[in-house]
Amino acid sequence: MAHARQTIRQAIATAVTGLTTTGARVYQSRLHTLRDANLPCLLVNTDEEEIDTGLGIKTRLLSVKIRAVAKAASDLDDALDTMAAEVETALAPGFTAASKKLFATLTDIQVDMVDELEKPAGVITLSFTVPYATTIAAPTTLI
Amino acid sequence: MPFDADDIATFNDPDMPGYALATIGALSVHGRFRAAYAEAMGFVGGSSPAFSGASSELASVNEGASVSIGGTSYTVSGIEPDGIAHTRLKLESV
Repeated sequence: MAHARQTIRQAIATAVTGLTTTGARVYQSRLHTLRDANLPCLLVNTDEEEIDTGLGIKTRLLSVKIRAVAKAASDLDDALDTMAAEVETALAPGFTAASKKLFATLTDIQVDMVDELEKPAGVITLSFTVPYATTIAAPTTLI
Repeated sequence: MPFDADDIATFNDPDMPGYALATIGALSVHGRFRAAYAEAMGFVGGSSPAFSGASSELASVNEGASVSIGGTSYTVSGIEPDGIAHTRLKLESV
């Protein structure tokens, strides 16, 4: 039984798979180092979660981070911004997780670029929050 | 005691590990080339190519200069003199 967090992460990963720049290179909770064959790519992670417990229901606010990573000999900033635009556009209409329509609200964007490698490398991190709810007894079931 | 020309030449001798001949514009410079594995930001792997040669021979090299080593082309992305006798050129793949 997958926790609803997992279901949401997988649904978001599906929603951002097949974008023009990153294609199928979408990785969930990846820990391994990215090689050239993995780039450009999207890393989808579910992080902390705020939870309010009411009568039989937990209302939750899940933090989701999507990091778009690329190497480019030139115009790295443009490549990162393009990937951010593709992700935002893909998630704008919402996404479906376990037959529930959910929405990811973009709250923050951070950019980091370095020149330590054979080509400049960079990441643009899009932070989203996703509100959802489960019963107290069944964190695996979205309601 | 500072390095003299013979000392510097020893570092950049063809018998030295990593020896390479770099073509930088009209210059042909003897030195050492490395492209060791490196990581950036903790999760992006790659290499960190660099060429080291005598500072006196690399004095006119500027950032952005084209470098050819072993048939591979690079661009100089950083110039790091050691303050003694050698300069390390950070390289980017073209």
